[in-house]
Amino acid sequence: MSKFANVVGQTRAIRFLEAVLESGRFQHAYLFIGPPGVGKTRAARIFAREILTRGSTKGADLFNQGQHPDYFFTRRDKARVSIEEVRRMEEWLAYRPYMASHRVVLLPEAHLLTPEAGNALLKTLEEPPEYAVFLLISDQQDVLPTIVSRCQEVRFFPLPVPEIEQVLLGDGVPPDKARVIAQLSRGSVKTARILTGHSAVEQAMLRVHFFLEDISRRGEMAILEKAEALEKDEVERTLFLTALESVLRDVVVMVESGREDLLLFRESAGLAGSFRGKGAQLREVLMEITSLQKKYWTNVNPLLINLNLLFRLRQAFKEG
Amino acid sequence: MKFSIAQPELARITSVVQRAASTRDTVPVLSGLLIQASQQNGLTLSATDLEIAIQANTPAVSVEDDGTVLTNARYFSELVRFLPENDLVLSTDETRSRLVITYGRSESHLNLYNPEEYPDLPVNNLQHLLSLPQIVLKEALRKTAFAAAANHFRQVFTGVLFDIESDRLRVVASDTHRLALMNIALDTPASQPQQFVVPARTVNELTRVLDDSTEPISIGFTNHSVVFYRTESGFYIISRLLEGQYPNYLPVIPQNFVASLTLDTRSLANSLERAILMPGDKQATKQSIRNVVLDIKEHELNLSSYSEKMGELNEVIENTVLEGESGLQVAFNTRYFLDIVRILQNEASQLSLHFTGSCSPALIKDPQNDNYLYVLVPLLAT
Repeated sequence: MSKFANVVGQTRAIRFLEAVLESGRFQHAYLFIGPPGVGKTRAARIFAREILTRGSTKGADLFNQGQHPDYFFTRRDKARVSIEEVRRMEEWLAYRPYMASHRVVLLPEAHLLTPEAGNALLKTLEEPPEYAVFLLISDQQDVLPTIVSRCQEVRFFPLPVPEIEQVLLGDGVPPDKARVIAQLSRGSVKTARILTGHSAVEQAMLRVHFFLEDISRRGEMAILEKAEALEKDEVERTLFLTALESVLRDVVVMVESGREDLLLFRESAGLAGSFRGKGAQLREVLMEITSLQKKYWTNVNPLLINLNLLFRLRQAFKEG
Repeated sequence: MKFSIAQPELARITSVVQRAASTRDTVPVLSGLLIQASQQNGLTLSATDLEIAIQANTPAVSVEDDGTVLTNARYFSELVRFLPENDLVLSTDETRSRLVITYGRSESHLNLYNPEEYPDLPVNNLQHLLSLPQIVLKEALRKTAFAAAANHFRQVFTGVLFDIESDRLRVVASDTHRLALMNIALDTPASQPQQFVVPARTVNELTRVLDDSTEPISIGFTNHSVVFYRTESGFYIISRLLEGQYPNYLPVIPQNFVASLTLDTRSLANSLERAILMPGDKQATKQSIRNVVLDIKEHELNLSSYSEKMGELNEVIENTVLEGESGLQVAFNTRYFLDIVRILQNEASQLSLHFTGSCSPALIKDPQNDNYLYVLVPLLAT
């Protein structure tokens, strides 16, 4: 059985990592890149463990207890990885491996490096000790290009709906719920697992429909109320926004192709009528919502993001 | 395990060893102190955080039962320090696996870690490199280590270089703005040439435990770690090394000078102690640096320090002897300059400054001693 059995899907990335382990020749740095919640960190941890325990079993227990002397895991301070953390890592890296053949640094949030920390890291990435292996992980594309160019990229992709459904069924989620969540999770196991915590996933679509009607009826008031409601509850927010995206996607598909069989949710077909001829605009809004959503993982007040996002939606309605 | 020992002796070796124990509790056993009592070898204490390890031994103990225990180093050492200066009895209470320290009618019980989880200290296959008197090593470290960088992205600059070639040892530290070098002639040649960089923390611990005697301390190697040790007293400091190539430092030491100035060390020291009080001016992008400008005249040296905010200081040091051209102006970081003058003040009445120009490195030394050199890069005079 594969060491990476815990990582769902991602066959290409896993095959690559296994080949690297097999060869025993490591690059100085790997950048695991892909959307949140698709198994990057999980794969990187396993990769780190395999590098550190090659040819010996005694490291594995230490690694599992988080105590392996040749493993460094950078921590973030609030929403940033600071230069002090990078310096701490560099001091640590100045020593030879204690028991393994390499020293592995796992940097789980490369996109959260402050510019100073990123620049400090560059110097080490440029001339690392020969025993160093860096594993950088990023949800987003906005890592310093100079860092990217010093790393071997390992790409991770959104998971297909059936695979997520399988994971959820494995977690013991009832089949009906699992199917809805898998469709809503946009390829992310992490999002899917957050959604299972919600009691009324099945009604998410209805609530989105209701909200869209509410906007056309009450305008800004509805937006302000919703933005505030979504600020408090992360699960509710994730659910609402993914449902919103799915509905908008359906509307775009319906408007542009008119084919009901491509819809994620049949119920969305009714909405398409009010958007006829506005497909391009709607698609733009959808892209914008997706990019605004990424900001939730950064250091921005969620309420502001909610407001921006919902007003953008309202604008589309007006234009439409 | 059971043994009795005089409190001052236990406190002495505990205080030396416990400093190697880890202060973070990510790995609990590493904050432990390993206590090994044996009728044959006496009492041995060890501590390590995997970067540095210290072990010390004393025969001044009477062991009734052999044994090994692992207890919290910080707490044990603090406790022992404050125990009465009498004989202490340490034993394990087998049923509850605790360490019992008995002093008079009082006793204290300490919880134990499992000693089997403790890493082995690699003191066995030790390769001897060289030996030198303790006082010589201590002096060399005291007079060089301060020049190392507090932090630098090239980690080797945060440590102290030991450069060994047959019958001489050079101890070097630099932060790229200054460099201190001590040349030591060895009585017996080293077993092989070697270069390695010792972390600042190890140097600190080493200067703390070395004494001012001519008793030898040995330096050796074991799996990529350096060991400073005295076999007869069972004392070992094992330290991992900073990896990386230390730059070739010899070309940095200037050879040809445009001017050489010899002057009274004490007068210079006094002037600089006053000059360092003058705050540096904040520059837009960089940190403020306290600086002093040297104006070299035929028979005197003018020192000035200026601060926009605070004022200025102009000092004249007379009776200087100049070889080479006069009229040179050089600006130094006052702190870096004072560091060396303070050291030389204690051992040389005269000090010589050798200049290669106003923007190139100067060499500072005791004119009677070519074995201790300090290279200082000037600031750009504004």
